[in-house]
Amino acid sequence: MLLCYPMGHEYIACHRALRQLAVRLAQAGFPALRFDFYGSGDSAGQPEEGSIDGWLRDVTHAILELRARHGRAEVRLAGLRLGATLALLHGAQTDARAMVLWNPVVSGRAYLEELIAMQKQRFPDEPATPALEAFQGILGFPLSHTLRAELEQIDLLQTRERPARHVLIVESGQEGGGSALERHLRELGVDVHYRFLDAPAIWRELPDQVVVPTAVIQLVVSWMKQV
Amino acid sequence: MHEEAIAFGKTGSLIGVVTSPASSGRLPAAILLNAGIVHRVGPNRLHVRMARALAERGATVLRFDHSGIGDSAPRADALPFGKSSVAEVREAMDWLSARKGCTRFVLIGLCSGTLTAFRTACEDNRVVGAVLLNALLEDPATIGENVVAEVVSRKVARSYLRDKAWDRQSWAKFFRGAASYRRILEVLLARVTGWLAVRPLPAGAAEVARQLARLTDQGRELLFVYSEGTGVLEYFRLTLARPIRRLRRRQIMIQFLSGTDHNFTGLRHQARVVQIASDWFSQLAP
Repeated sequence: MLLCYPMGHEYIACHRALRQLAVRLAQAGFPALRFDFYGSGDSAGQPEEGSIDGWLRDVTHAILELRARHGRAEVRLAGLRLGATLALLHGAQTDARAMVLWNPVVSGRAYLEELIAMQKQRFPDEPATPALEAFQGILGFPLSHTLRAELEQIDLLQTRERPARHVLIVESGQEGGGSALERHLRELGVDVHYRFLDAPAIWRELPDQVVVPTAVIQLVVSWMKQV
Repeated sequence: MHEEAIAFGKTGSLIGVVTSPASSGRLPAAILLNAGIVHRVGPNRLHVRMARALAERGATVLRFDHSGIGDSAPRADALPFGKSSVAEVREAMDWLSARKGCTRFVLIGLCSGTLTAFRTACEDNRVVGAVLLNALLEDPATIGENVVAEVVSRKVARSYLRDKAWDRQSWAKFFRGAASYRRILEVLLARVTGWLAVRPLPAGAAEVARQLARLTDQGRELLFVYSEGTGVLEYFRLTLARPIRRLRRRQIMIQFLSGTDHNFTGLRHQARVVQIASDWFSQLAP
């Protein structure tokens, strides 16, 4: 199993939850690799150097690493937030057997609006970024204009290729186009399931209130076992 | 610069990342401690920025997760965090000593990490200095409620003074509000008359002041950086500011950043904190 983290400030809030998911998956017999995308976490690079294309290449490298370590050809993906989006976008290349999309970012435009609104709400006194600066601060992380432009292009409802044979879409605490994505993937011939759980939207938490939504983790693990 | 993930400690279950400089200078090694339960990259990935900036200056830097935080396994024993956190920092120093030949260490903490840094410095002479970001050097559970209320009143009063002095609506809210009016008025008066500290010093703070005197007597160097408007700064002003001023120790440096939160979230504030810490680090005696 390859686990794909969210980006920016969401990564910090979600780190513990994805570790727990990895532990539970491993206990259920699925070796799980979590990795940090370029420019995030412990990986090399600055956040403003990150790009969608670069991160999709990171997913390829991570899959190769997982296969090299465990010698199994079949790799399944699970992603949270933008990590789920990247997993789906990459999925078309690998035609994975199964994929979990946990609160995927379906519309890049909506995601950007949400980020900018949250930045304004939490830091109302922070001055707006002058137009000539290469990036703006979003809740402690630089968002480059390049990445912003790439994100604006993301609309998972416009994808044309099947990302995996079986897909589980989980939305916890917040709906963000998951149902529409379910319908779209079904049209592409995917065996897709959608579940909404009344669990915390952990990526919205402040960093000092890190939470682990056990209900979501249990659902993902049990779904993986029966796929 | 080179980074490697490591597993260390008695049970090999403490996970960290070591950043090694291109060429080792004569600087002490730096260890970045968890801020609250945020894992080793730090809030806003600050620890990663800080580690790489210090390595650019020639320092070997370790950022690691205490047991039960980030990727480190929980402890099997019942040692309370106050004790286990210090023990684990000492294990980190043991590892750096054995594998990288480091003999002197600077501990860098943010928020709750400052308490671990301070306690470890008090117990282990290998710690030659500490960078204490928004420091609270006592267990917050031991601080009396009356003192906490005092801190809150001062924080409110100061924020009104700073931000809303000419805002008539805010003054109206001020008099209708739930904070202790008497205390707020006293703080405002104190601001005018220059009297700030609570007397006598609460026992916990007095002990910290004694420890700071002892650490600096031994030549350890301390850098405090505070964000204006935070409760911990108000507590510092209430308790340690005056004893530290009286100590007149060259080894204690205190800097303030305004317009930022307790995690220095704004990008330019993060850059500023990293700059302040790096510059201070570079001038440490070899």
